[in-house]
Amino acid sequence: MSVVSKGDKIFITSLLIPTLFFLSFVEFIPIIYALLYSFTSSSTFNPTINFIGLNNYINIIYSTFFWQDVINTLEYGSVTAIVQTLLGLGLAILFKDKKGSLYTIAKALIFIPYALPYISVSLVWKFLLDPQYGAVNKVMLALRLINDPIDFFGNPSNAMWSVMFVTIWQFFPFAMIILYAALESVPKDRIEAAQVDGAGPIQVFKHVTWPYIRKIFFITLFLRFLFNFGKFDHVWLLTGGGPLRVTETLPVAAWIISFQQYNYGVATSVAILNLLLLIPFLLIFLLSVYRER
Amino acid sequence: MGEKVSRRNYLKYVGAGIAGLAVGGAIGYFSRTPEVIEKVTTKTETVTKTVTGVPTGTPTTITTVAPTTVVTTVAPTPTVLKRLSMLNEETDADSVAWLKKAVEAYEKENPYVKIALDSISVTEVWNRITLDIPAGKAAEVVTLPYFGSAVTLATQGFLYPITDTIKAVNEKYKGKDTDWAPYSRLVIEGEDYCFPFDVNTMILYIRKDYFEEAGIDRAPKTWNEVIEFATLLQKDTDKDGKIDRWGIIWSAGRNNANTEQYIILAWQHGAKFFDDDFNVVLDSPEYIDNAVQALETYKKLTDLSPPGSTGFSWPEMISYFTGGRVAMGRYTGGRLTKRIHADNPAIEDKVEVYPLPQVDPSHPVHYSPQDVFAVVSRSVYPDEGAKFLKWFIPSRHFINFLHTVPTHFTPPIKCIWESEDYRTYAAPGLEDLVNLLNRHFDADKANFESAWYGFDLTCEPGNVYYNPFAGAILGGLQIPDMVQSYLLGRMDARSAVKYGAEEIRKVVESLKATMTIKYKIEAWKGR
Repeated sequence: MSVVSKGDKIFITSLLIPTLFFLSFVEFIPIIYALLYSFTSSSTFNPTINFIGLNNYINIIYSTFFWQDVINTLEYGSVTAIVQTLLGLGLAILFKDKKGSLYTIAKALIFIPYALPYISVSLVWKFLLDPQYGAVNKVMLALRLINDPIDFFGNPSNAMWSVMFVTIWQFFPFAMIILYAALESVPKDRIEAAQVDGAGPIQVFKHVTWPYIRKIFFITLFLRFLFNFGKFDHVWLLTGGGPLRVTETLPVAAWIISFQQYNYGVATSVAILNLLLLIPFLLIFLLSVYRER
Repeated sequence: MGEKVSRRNYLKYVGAGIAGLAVGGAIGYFSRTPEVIEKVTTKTETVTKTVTGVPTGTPTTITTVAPTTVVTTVAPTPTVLKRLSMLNEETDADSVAWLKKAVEAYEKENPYVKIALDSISVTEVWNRITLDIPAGKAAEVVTLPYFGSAVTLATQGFLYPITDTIKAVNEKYKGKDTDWAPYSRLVIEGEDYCFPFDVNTMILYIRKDYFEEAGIDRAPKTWNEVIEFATLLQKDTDKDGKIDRWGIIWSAGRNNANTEQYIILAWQHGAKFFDDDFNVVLDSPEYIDNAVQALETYKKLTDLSPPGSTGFSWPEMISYFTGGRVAMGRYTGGRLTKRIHADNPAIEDKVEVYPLPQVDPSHPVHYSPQDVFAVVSRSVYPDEGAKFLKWFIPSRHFINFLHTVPTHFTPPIKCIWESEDYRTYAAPGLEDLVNLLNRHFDADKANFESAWYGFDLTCEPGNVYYNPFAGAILGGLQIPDMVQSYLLGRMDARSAVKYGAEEIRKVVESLKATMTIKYKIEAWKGR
C-alpha cells in the first residue's frame, strides 16, 4: 500500500509541472516534430506537410547506404565507449590515493582534451596524422616502426580506426573523472579489511571495489555510448564520412541528406531510426539499473 | 510564527503567480515601443544682407563672404531601427575586416540601419539560408559560393531583384551590358537577381626552380604532359630511397575540390552531366566512354600525388604547395598566391601561374565558376538589403574588398576590372595587397579573361539554360563518391560512372519532386 497520500501526490506533481513544461519544449516537441516530418516529403524549399506514410522509412531501409551506416554507427559508438571507459577506469585506478603536486598536475593535464573545442581537436589531429607533415608519421619513421608513412584518413582500412582514436583521446577523461570519484567512494575500511585477510590487489578489486563501482561503470559506459552514437563533429571534420563512406555514420548521413540533398523528410527518418536503434540499449540499461535497486 | 499555508492555497498562489507573469510578460512584449532613432539635420545657408554704409549714406549691397551657418534642428523623425543580416562566406581575415568597415560606413550614413555581419564557412552559409528561407527570416544580403546556388534560389522566387545595383555599377564605371561576362548575370523578366563579385578559373601553379632542376623548360599544356613531367619532377631530396617531393598534388578527398576536378576533366574529355532539360546524361551511351576516360586520367594524376590524396581537400592543396612538397598544384582562383605571399614569401618569385592543361589544346575547355552577392526575398527587409548592395558595390568599399585577396577576387565585369580604382587605387592598409595584385597582373588577367570562355556546372558547354540543380551537385558528395569508388578499387571505371550518374539522378529527381521551379532561365551569354 502506498504511503504517499493523495494530497502529497498532487503536491509532488505540481512541483514537477515546471520541469515537464520546460522539457516538453526543449526535448519532446522537437522529437515529435521530427517524427512528424519523417512521414512527409518535406524538403528545404518546400516545407509544407505532405504525408507520404512510411515511404521514407521503406526507401531508407532498402537503400544501399543505410545498413552500412548502421554498422558504422554501432562500431563507432560501441568501440569508442568501451575503450574510453576502460581507459578511464585504468587511469582512475592508477591515480587513486596518489598524493603530491605531480599527480595533481597530471590529473589536470589528462583532463585538458575534454575541455578543448571539438573543431580544434579535429583539426590538430588531422594535421598530426597527415601522411607527410604529421608528427606521428615522422616519429614512427624516425624510430623505424614503419617503413612508409601511414595514410590514416585516406585509406579505407585505417579511416574508421583513426576517427575512433581521436574521439577516444578527447573523451576518455570524462570516464576517468567519474570513475575516479566512484573509486574514492569505496569505504577504505573494507579494502583494509580485505588486505588484512590476505587479499591481493586483483582480489581486492574484484571482491571489494568492483561491486561498489560496477553501477557507475556501466552508467559511464552507457553515457559514452549514447554520446558517441549520435556524434557528428569528429567524423564530419576528419573524413566527411569518407573515403568510400566507410566512416559515414547515421548522424552524418542525416546531415548530408538534409543539407546536401535538401530532403528534410528522409533526413528526419534517418534521425528517428538512429533514435530507435538506441532504444534496445536504453531498455537494457534501465532494466539493469532497476535490478540493481 | 507565520500562518501555515495549505497545499491547496499554495497551488493557487503558484498558479496565480505564473499566470500573472505570463500575462504581464506578454503585455509588455506586445506593447513595447519600437526602437527609434532621431534624425537631426544640420543645414548650411548662405545669407545675403543689405547694409547701409554710414559714411556716405549710400546704400551698399554686401554679400557676406563667410557663410552664416544656420543650424536647424528639425523635429525628430522617428524611424524604426532596421536590423539586417549579411551572411558572408569569404572568411579571409582581411576580407572580413574590410567588409566590416564597409558595413560601419553604411550604418554611419544610414543610422536607421544596423547590419550584423556573419562570416561563416561556405557550407554554413548555404545551410543557414536553406533553413531560414522556410521561416521567412533569412539574412537579407548573402554571398553565395556558386552562381548555381543563386540559380537554385532564383528559379523558386527566393531572391529579390537588384537591378538598381547593376545599373548603378554601369553608371559608375560607364559600363554596358557587353562588359559583363557570359554566365555572370541572372536575368528573369528583365530583372537582375545577383551580382557576380569574382571569377575563379582553375589554374596550374608550378615551381619553376623545380622544373629547371629537372631540366624541364616549359609548363605542361596537356594532361599527358602533366603526367610525364610529374614523373620527372618526383625527387628523393634526403636520399633515403623514398620520394619526398612529388610532381603534383591532386586531391581526391570526399569534398568539392574533388568534384571540381572531375567536372573539368569530364568536359575536357567530351563528357557532359546534364542536357538542357536537366536530365543526367553522364552515363548515356553518348558520353559514358568520355566520362570513363576522365576517371582514368583522374586516377593517373592521383597516383602521382603525395600519399593520402584520398583524404585531401583545399587546405592540403595549399599547404603542400606553399611548403615546397610538390612541383605543381592546381587551384580554383588565385587564393594560393596570397597564401604563398603570407606563408612562404621566399618562394614567391619561384612560382608561376599557367592556364589549366587540356586534353586537346586545340579545343580548350576551362572551369571558371563565379561567386555572387544576392538579396534573399524571404528576409525581413529585402528592400534594405538591395539598398545596401546598391550603395556598396559601386563604392570604393567594394574595391577594397576585392583587393583583400588579389588575383582571386577578380571581377568578371570589364568596366570594373579595367577601372583605375581596381588597378591603382589602394586604401591605406591595402597597399601591400594591391602591389601583390599588380605583381601578378598576368594571373589576374588570365583569371579575368577566363570568365569569357570558361564554364561552370550551372550552364555546361553546349547548354542554353541555367541548371537549378547544379548547386546541389557542386555542394554534394555524389561525384567524390564516384571518383573514390574507382580510385580505391571498389568498382571499375565504367561501373563507377554508372553509380555516380545514378546518385546524381536520385538527388535531381528528389529535388524535382519537391522544388517549385517557377522559371526556366536562359543563360546570360553577354550581349
